[in-house]
Amino acid sequence: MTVELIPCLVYMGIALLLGMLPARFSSRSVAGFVAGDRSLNTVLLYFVLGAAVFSSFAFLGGPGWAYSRGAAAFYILSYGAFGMIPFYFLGPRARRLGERLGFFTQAEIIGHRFDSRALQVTVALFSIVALVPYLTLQIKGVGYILSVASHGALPEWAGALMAYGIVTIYVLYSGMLGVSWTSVFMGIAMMTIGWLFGLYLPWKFYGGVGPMFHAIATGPHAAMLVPPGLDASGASWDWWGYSSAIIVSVLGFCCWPHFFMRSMAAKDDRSIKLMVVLYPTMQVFMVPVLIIGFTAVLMFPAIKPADTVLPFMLQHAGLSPWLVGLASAGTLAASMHTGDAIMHAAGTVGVRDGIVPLLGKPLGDVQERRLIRVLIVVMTAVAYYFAVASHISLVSLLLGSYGGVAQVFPVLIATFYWRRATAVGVGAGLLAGVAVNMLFLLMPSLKPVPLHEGIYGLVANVIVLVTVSLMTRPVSAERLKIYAEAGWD
Amino acid sequence: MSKAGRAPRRHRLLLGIVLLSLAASVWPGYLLGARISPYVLGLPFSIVWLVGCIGVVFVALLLTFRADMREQHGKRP
Repeated sequence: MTVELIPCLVYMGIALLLGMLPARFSSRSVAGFVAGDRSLNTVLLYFVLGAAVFSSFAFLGGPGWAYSRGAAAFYILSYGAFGMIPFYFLGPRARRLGERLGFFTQAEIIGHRFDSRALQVTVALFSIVALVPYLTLQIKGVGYILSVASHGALPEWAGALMAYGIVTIYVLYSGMLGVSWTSVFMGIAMMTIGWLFGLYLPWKFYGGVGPMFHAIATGPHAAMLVPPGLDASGASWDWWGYSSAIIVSVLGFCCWPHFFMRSMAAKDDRSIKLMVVLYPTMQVFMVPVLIIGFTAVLMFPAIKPADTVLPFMLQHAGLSPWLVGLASAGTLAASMHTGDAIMHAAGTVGVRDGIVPLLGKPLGDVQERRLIRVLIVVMTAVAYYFAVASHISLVSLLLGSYGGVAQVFPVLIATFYWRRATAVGVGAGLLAGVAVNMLFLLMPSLKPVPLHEGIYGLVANVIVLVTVSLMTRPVSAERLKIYAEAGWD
Repeated sequence: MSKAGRAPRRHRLLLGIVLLSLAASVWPGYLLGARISPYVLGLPFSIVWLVGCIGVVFVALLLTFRADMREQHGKRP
């Protein structure tokens, strides 16, 4: 066994332990498994929702962007900080409704507000289509990093199986509390390791962060530091693309199903609001991540693909094997604490918003819990298959999914803020938005101006939503009253 | 929660500050900050500007949160 693997194994051992323990504190009910009996405080929410965002992208894709596209990567800094803000208002409302009506997912609220099972199933279907490729990328990242840490002794399929085997065990065993307790540990590990390397690597190669940026600014790559940076081909990016990528990501941010549904696991309104207030402190964590990518610009030109810039440096920079192991453990943390949240959410959404409405009758508590667990295993197996056995390019699928997920934003606003919105209107808007988004994603040459395809989708979405809603009958006044009573704050 | 289904004024103020900061983080607001020097703590100004925008939002949220909590406690002693 290599030295590099030791920190990874220690880390996975702690994760397993911390994931198993909290089962003792949660009830053996659906509410316990899915939402930790609605008991999450600010700290747990902060890390669970931080985890929802900082996936293996944090240590692989993030530095890769900085390395290959320079200032274009700064958009990552902005969107998380702004994207969380709608949650200050939407989160507490969703929580109160969830508590009152017994809901746990985003699609349940939307389906109830518009009195439409079809809408609920549609939103759930979108959720799962977006979540499975996301999970696949996490599994791929883990397999890759463990194979690097073991000098190839551990093939990617085996590393991925080991790490996600552990994740599956504690998610099945402890549900939401397992996901949240491990998130705290993984989040702290990830942030500490990120800052450590973000400061250490420039110090080692250039004598500090300042001298490193000076060296880039006075060298042939100075253009990288000036926003909006470079596009994927290395030419300079346009402001259209940069600005619209931020807007779409901001709007899509809290629409992710594994994100939004945590509002219904929160203990009270205060803990959600305080979490939103504190969230920018986590976003600043992206600064060292970007620095890691910039470190390689002059030292290691021509790393391909750019996403492997951190693993490449770990292998070729002559670092102590302990440090390499530590960075690998940080990457595992980043991947696993997103992966567990996605698995848990996908299983829950699949059962509560897919299977139950289709059956047309409620399941018993025990039955529903069992079914959610089965579905978690099935979806993880599917994602695992795609991660190790299939060669379909999922990165492009995931890139498209942000534009798709952002189409849920008008639905959420209509749910809470526009009484006149109807199921047909919202459903038609959603389908129009997703269709337009897909069209421009697949055929970018059709775009009139190089805006993010999600923007075109949103314009179509809102126009259709408003027009069709006004032409159809709204739901009953009693139902609207429930939503009005949830407050306007 | 305010009466008559309207958001309190400070929430609209918060929304205004957030939109301004967002406008400063994208074109054309970001043109003001999109340059390399001066460096702050070794970071190019283009990064410092964005972190500054996030800082403004952080302070605005913090003040809104404090006011919200004070109001809640005022209603339910």
